[in-house]
Amino acid sequence: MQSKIINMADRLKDEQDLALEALFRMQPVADDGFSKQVTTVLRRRIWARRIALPFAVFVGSAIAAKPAVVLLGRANELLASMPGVASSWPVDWVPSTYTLLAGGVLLAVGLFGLNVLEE
Amino acid sequence: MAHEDHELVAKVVANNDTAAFGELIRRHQSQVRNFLRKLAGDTTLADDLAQDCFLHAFNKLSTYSGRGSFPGWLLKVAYTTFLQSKRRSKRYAEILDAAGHMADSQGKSYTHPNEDLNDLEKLLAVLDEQERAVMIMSYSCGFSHREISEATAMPVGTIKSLIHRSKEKIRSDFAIKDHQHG
Repeated sequence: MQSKIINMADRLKDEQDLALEALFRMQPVADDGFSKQVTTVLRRRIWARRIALPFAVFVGSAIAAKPAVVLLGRANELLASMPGVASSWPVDWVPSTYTLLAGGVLLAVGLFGLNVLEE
Repeated sequence: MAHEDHELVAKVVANNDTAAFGELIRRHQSQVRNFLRKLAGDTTLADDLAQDCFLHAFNKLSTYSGRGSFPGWLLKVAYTTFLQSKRRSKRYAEILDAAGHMADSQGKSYTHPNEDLNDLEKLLAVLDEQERAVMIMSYSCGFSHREISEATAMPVGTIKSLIHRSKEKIRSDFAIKDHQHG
């Protein structure tokens, strides 16, 4: 009962309320391309998000490829110099730069494709 | 066929449907931009904030439970966007200074109001930011106390006392007697 009275009191308007309502009354704002502008920004952001991860993977792979090959080469030399291990490891097991880069590109394209499919 | 707001929201959440979201923007941009224009007192800044608001809304749309009204939820995002921007930017303070808004620091600041301001701007300038937001939601947007409470995350009792205090401030600053205005 009390809440009903309170709700009614909420709705009762004195002259000042009516004057304030008149003063605060909003004139509609014309769209004037606003919604189109926001959706354009939105679509651009969605595409940027789609591309960001594959691009980062591609750039990361490109940067890491050379040091990775050098590191693997050194590891191979080290293993080759160890008696007993050398015989069990093939000499040409280290992938070439080309293979690493191709793998990176493939991974980036794959991630991009997954993102597009997800969307 | 025109879809209801909640149907469009469902489309956006399910498929990231930007066309459906575009329709939601078209429907509600006027209220959001009006709210922010009155709150910020600067049309360009308000429209930038409105854009940010809709971008945030798109990202957070899955958190809209559908219990309250969609415009209410949207104004909540708009108010949060405004507060975040205000915290980040010094530009807001400069705009308020330019508009002569020194209500709290100078007491009755509108004894010599800036002639360039219209009646509503003068009136809003005597209120602090929280009071302004609540008054705009109540008198411009026609929100109930409960809706304002949901949008501002303040208890209904606080909303009522903020509205009462704002009206008292307006009465005293503009020498309006009870049940009389002008």
